[in-house]
Formats: sequence, structure tokens, C-alpha cells
Amino acid sequence: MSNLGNFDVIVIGAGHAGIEAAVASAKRGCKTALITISLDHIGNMPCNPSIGGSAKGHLVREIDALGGVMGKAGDACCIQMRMLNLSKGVSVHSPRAQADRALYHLYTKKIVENTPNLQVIQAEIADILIDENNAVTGVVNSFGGVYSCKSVVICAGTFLNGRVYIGKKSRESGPDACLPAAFLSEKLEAHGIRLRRFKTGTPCRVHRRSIDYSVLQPQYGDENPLPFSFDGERGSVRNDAVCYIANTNAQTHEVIKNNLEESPLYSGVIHGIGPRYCPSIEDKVVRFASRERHQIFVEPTGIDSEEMYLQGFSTSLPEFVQDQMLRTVRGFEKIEIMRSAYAIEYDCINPTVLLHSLAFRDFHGLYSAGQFNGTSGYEEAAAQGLIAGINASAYVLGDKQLELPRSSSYIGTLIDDLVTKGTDDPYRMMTARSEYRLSLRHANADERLTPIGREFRLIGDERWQRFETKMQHIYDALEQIRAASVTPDEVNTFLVSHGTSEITQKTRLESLLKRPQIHFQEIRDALHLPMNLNEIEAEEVGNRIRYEQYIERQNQQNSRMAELERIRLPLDVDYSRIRGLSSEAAEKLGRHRPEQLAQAAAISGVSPADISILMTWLKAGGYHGE
Amino acid sequence: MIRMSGEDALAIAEQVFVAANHTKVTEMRGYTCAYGYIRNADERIDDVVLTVFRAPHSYTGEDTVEITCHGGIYLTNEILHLLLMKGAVPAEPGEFTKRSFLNGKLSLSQAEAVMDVIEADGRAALHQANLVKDGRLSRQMREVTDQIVGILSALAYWMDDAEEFPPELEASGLSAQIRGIYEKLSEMAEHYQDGKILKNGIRTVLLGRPNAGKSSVMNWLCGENRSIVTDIPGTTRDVITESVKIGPYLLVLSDTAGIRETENKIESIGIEQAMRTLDTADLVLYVVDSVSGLTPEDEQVLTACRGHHVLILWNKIDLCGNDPGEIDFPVVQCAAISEDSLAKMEDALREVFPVVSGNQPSVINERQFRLLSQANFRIREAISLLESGGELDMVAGELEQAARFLSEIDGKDISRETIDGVFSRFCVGK
Repeated sequence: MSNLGNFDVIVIGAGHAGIEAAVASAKRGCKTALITISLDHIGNMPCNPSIGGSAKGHLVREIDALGGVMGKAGDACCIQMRMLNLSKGVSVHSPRAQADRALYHLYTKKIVENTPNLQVIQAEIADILIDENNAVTGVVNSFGGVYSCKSVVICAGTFLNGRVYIGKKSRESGPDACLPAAFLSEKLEAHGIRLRRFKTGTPCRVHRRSIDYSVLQPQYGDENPLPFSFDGERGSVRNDAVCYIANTNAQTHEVIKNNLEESPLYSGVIHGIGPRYCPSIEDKVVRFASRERHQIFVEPTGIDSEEMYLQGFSTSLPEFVQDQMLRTVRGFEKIEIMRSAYAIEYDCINPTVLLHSLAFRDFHGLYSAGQFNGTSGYEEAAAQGLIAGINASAYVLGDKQLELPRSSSYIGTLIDDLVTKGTDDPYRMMTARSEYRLSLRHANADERLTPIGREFRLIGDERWQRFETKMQHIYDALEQIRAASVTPDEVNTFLVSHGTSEITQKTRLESLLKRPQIHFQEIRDALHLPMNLNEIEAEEVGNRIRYEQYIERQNQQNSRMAELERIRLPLDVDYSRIRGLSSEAAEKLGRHRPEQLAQAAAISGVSPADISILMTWLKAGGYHGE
Repeated sequence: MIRMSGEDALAIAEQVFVAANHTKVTEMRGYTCAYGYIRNADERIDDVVLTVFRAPHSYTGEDTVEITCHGGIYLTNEILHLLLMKGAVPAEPGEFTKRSFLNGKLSLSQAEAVMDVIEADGRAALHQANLVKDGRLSRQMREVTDQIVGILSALAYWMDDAEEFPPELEASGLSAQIRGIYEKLSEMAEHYQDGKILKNGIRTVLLGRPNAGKSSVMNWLCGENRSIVTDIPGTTRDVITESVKIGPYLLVLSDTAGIRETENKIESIGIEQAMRTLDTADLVLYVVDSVSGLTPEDEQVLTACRGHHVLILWNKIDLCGNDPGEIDFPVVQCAAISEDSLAKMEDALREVFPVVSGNQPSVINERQFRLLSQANFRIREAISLLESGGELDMVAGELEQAARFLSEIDGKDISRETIDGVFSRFCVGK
């Protein structure tokens, strides 16, 4: 076997996870290789041409706050930007961008090509070399070439034994007609890594001119939208693309019902488990039979592309049925399909074999991220990629691993859910998944994570200074507000005009700001309070005060769990030797090998008494005594 | 004995303990005790001896207070309840030992010696939890949790996916649903009080005119086979309660001193004083001599008893007494010496305390009651937020916390249930 190079870290796959992992590793000073099956598909968006969305937008902001790539790439390739959930409370506001797919590929390719310390290579990886100590030593490509390294991050996406289905016909393929990764799965299993099959699907792309937009409902970007990146200014992203909403009808549903036996899902040809949050149109029609219509979002895939993406219409029915059912939709009568909808089945792991660092428990230097870990979505992938990249490089550098607690971020919640609970279907982030939702606003992602990004050397001096200035402004303003009181004369007119009750005596400004009818900026202007705040900072100040009491209460309740999260358990404990543990607990703990007490407490069959025993045993130094 | 450990132990004890020599608990030195009583506002609950241990010289290594009371389920629970209201938190199984470890008071070998005990505690607790899980209250609690989770799923769906507002979240409907939950939880809290009565005993006072037969009723009730005397070994004080079992009910005849000796209770205490006795009682057993019938004095006292659970013992019917006629309170016609009277009394008690359906009353414990109350507090917050125009993410936050409190009782994963609810009930995915 020929040696083709020596690296610290090798990242397999250049999708959204791989890009973050490789750039983070290289920026942190590791000699890194990013190896992809196709250089022409770096940063590809084989499904939705969009970044962000509910909870996913939070992830993108957090990635940016930590010093990752996706926020900036999303801004640079944005063609329409909206803040979702504006009527639903600040904590669930979430940015979403329509992205130019071709541009996104070019932009991210340029990023990885121009990152110092990072070498970009086209090759299919067929094996990972692991020595007798279970430590990674390199990877092998499909022609036998060896790249030596100390750490590997697997970001294989949907490529492993990828199989594409249209109707009952299928063929081996990666997404977007790329080659699948045909060899690696077998080798991973030979290393003792168990794989399972998940599936996902994508809708048709149709020609822009074949739709009658006059009968559809248009959807525009926000005025003066906030970008993803904390470096960006309001209104700085391109925002002129228009999306449209169409609807299915009884006729469409009729066509689907008449052709269900043609579906590989309903006829049992596909065994992989699909995402619950993103059902195919035939799934929606069958499961929610009483609904008269389902929405289809028509989204441009780019400024210079005529392809339109039909969100909400993913299907694995045969091509002739796709054509037939689309033509029943009002405005789609003359539809021209350019790419057919398909389902793709692929190998992935059960993520409970990973640690919170995204390292494999049983190997040294082996990490993984993205769809290979059982998730779904570009943002979920990028979030993991960033953490895996940081930790793979930390492993090589001998630094500490980054493990984000649930309370810190959606990223921490995502990873904790994965490695603690595992997932039975492709995992998508949702705001409901976080018990810390009220404190994890997109707008304070920088406050939560930029100091961590700085500590892990992904935040440069200039950005750090800007961040510190912003925080200083916010803290000063908060202090000023906490010291301020207002008299009835000063404020009652304002209160009444905003639909809330008058005050009868001098009142602390802070307590007025907790009223839902009062917005900080308005009362500040009405009272002519001199404050050194720009618009984004002022918004943040208002929201902080408004949410403070709820967050405090939330934190109190969650603090016991957080305490358990902090207490580490060694991985090689022989639980059967700990006296007092129930035999069921000992057996289950031995099987799951939790990293922390919180994880142990989440295992069914492990009682609070067992946790107490573990706690005392740890405190008594039991581990070292074994 | 009740033991309290932790930073605030002395301060919490201070709030409920009045020392005979007026020492403050927070000023007591370690290894000293004080005699005094536990009070709830103005009510004197029990005379106790309180011992103070100062950190680190205690079992746990923390400030510790031990309250030695007169024992008995009822009094102990009353004091416990009071301490919880003042901010104490019930100990988890093995918690004292755990703290002892964490503070470096016990070595590994000592710890191993107590492990088996801790485990036994945990198992008992688990067993108990399972019993409660099958109980009626717990089923209701599950229903309420499911209802909250249902709303949370709808909110989660709406926040994360929907463009259109799900019909189950129409503002008025949502508010009504949450109000319904509030009422259910409040009712369950009341049932808990009833359940507590069943578990800890019904605090009962025996009243009646002279010669109505209180003594014989007392003797009859406390007959050898039924009387459970809750004397405290090692104390020299008089018995202050007698517990009597009638069917599933436990009557705690409290403050019985004097009743056996004198028949002049009413005259001597007067209506005003009788009222005061009533305030701390769950049940009044009012004894009427059926031979003389209801006198104006009786009616006067009974009027004063309105608003309390009263059971009239229409006594001495074996002596050809009068018919009770129309009385507002449930009446048990009895002859104090008849066994049949006991059965009648049990039936009457079932009317007054209808919670008992079978032999084994379904009750929740103090910890569960606390969780339930905390949950309901959150629900009330959610309602007031909703009504003052607060954002739905905060409303959802309050509901979620309420559900978490409730789920601590049976350990369900609220987050997972909410998300499963989203996928099973709503057509997600654009």
C-alpha cells in the first residue's frame, strides 16, 4: 500500500458536517485533510435549498457564535431571509434563509480550499486503519492509497451503501447521483461498529417557467432582516427571491391513494426508518386522511437556476405518478419535472456508542458527525461537525475535549439527546427538545458560546473585541435599568396608551419592563433614557429583563439535573462490584456505560437510590480503589 | 424523630420552634438541646425536644437539627408538613448517608455497611411508588399530565412547524383547558388532604352535654381490641392521643385528657372554647342522649359546629329514646355497648369522608403532594401569563415545568412524550 500523506486529522466527507469539522481542526492548528467522493459536491444541498428554520436557525446562530462556517456561508449565499415564529415568543424566533445552492457549493469549496493547514482531496475512503490499542492510524482509499493520521472524523452523510429508490426500482447511489461509498460500511462492521439503515427522501425539482404563479400565494423575505452571523449587520444579505405556496387537493390525494402499491415504502421494499418530521406526501395523505389539502412550498434553488424545489412534496412514488399528481395541483397544470423525487436508504450508527465529545467510546481518535450519527438536516450535521472537529484536533493536540451541557445550547441538547437516548428515526432539532428553551434564544447565542469559541481558538481578536464591547454595553444598560425608578407622572400616559394599568407610586423601571405590553425600546424612547446601545443590543436588553424571572425559575428546577451532568463516571467501571447497587441497575449501567450521573439517571431501572450509591462511591474514591 | 440537615436547617427550625427558655435555635451551640414546642402561626402543635448539631460535627457534616416529638403518624407528619412549607425538602432515599459521604464524614468501609440499608430504603420506596402508581389519584395525575403534554405537543407543533394555528390552541379554548387542569389539580390536592386524613387519622373531638354518654362512648370506642395507644417509649408524659380503628378509618381522639374524668366539658369550656377545639379537628362526634332528645343547648353548640364534619351519635337508643327527627347532620343511632353501632358508625363515616372506595385508601405521600402543589402553582402562572397577554413560549415553559413536576411521580420523559405527540397528532413537515 502506498502512503499518500501524513495528517493529524482526516475528515471523511465534505458535506455540512465535514466542512465544519475540517475547518475547525485546521484553524486550531492541526494538519488536516478533507476527503470527499466528489469535489464538485462540497457543501452540496441535495434536499432543501435553505439554511435555518425553527430550532435549526438557533443551531446556525450557535455555530456562528462558536466560530463555525455555516452562519457566514448562509448569509453569503442567502437569496431570501425570514425570521420565523415572530408571533410566538422571542425564545422561538428562528431565522431561515433560502440559499442559492450552486453558490453555496462554490462558497464553501472556496472556504475549505483557502483554509491554511487544510488539504482537500477527492477519493473514496474504503477503510479506517486501527491499531492493536484501538487507536486510529490512518485511512485507505478505494485504490489502496493510505493517508496516515492520528484522528478521523466520519461525516459520511447518506453515502454509506446508499441506495436510491424511485417507485419499486432502486439502484446503488449516493445523493444527487453521486457515487455511493461502497466499501467503508463492511470495514466499519469488521471493526465492531454496528450499523443500521435509515432512509430519507427529497421532492421533485421543476422548471420555473412551468408554474402559473398568479394562482399561488407569494411569500417574501422580511424587511431589513437579521443575518445569521453575529458579524453581520441588519439588511446586509441578499433578500429578493420570492417563494410561493400551492396546495394539494382531493384529486391529488386520489391519485396518491390509487397508486400506493407502487410505493416502495407501502409495499415493504424499503426497510430503512424514515424521519417522522418530514413524511412523504403519501404518508401525509394516508395518516391524515381527513385533511383536504396539504401545503407545497415552491422555492427557488438559486438566482441563476431555473430549478424550483417543492417543499412538502417528497415522495418515493414512480416518476409517472409524480407527474400525474403534480398536474392536479392548481398552478402546476403544465409542470415540467427536471429531477424526480426519490428516497435514499443509507447506513448509520446508533449514536449511543458515542461520547459527548462525539468520540467513539471504544476507539481512540475516532469521531463522527451528521447523518451518519442518525440525524437529519444540514444544520444538525454542521453543529456536530464543528464539535467533532474541535475534539478530534483536541485529541491530537492533547487538549481537553469540548462537551457542551444541555443548558448551554441547542448543540449541547442535540448531542446529549443523541448519545444518551439514541434516536429511532432521523433526528431533527425542535425547540420542544430543550428544557432550557427560554434561555436559549438565537439572539444570545454569542453570549452563551462565543467565550467557548474563544477558549477553543476559533474566535479571532477582532471579533472577540466586538463581542466584549457588545456585552459591556448590555451589562451597563442592565445596571442602569436596575437602578432606575419612574414616577406616575413620568410614565402613566405611556402605560395607559400601551394598554396596561397606571402606577400609583414611584416604581422600579425593571418591574414595568416585565409587563408583556411594555417594550424596552419604546419606554426608553418615551422616557428619553440616555443609553449607549445599538438596536440589536437594545432588543437583547429588553428580552433579558422580560425573560429573566422565567429563566431563573427554569434554571432552579433544572439545577439538580445539571449537577448530575457535571459528575463524571469512568467508562471502565465494573458495576457488578459496587456494593449496594441493585442487580438490575448494575447490569444496565454495565451495558450503557454512562459518562455522567445524569446519563445514568436517565436509564430505566436505575433508581434514585442507585444514583446516591454511585455518587457516594465516586466521592469515596471508589474508582481508584478498584 | 425528625432530622433536618443543611445550611438552612437551623433557620428553618427557628421559624417553627419556640423554646421554653426563649433561646433562639440559630444561637444554640452544637450538641445542646432545648425543650419547647412547635407552632404553626398561633397553633401549638406539639411539645418537643430540639437538638442542635453544628457543622462539621454531625452525621452529615452539615448543620443538623433533630426534633424529638411525641411520635405517632399524625403529629410527625404535621410537623414535617410545616417544615416543608418553611422551605425544607424531603430527603431522597439514602440522602443523609450521601451527604455524609460528600462531606467526608464516612469512609468507604463505613459506607458499605450502610449501603444495604439504603438499598432497602430505595426498594421500599420503589415498591411504594408502584403501589401509588396503581392508585386512583395517580391515575388522575397521569391523566392531567397527559392533558398538559397534549397542549405542549400542540404548542410545539405550532412553534416549530405550523403556519396555521391548530384549532386546539384557539386562545379561549387554551385558557379553558388550562383552567380545567388547574381545577383538577386543586381537587386532587383536596383529595390528598382527605387521603391524609385516612392515612394519618381523623382528628376527632368528642362533644356533648353532661350525661349524654361521652364517657361510655369513649370507653366503647377505645375498647381493648380497637385501641391503638401511641405512647412514646422512654417518655414519662401522659398519652395525648388515642387512635381507634373503625373499618378503614383511623380516628385520632386528640386532647382527650379530661373527657373520661368529667362530664362537664361543655359547661366548663363554653361555646367559644369549643369552637377553638373545632378548628384543629377533622371531625366532631357529638353525643346526644336520645332519652332527653335535642336540647336548645345542643342546638346552640351544633350551630357553632356548622362548616365542620359532624357526626351525631344518637345515644342510648336501647333505653327507648326519642326519634332524632330532622337534623342537618348525619346521625348514627347507637347504644354505646352494641357492636352493631360500630358498623353503623363506619357507614356514617363513609358518608362524611367518601374518599374511601375499597379497603385500601389510595393516598399520595408528602413528597407527591408537594410536587402536585408545585405543578399547580406553575399552572396558575400559565393562566395569569395567558390572561395578561404573555407570550406563548413562556406559557409553554410554565406548562412544561408543571408536567415535569407531575412526571417526577412516575418518571415519564415529558420531552419525549411531547415530541411523540407532535408526530402522532399533527401533520408535520412542510
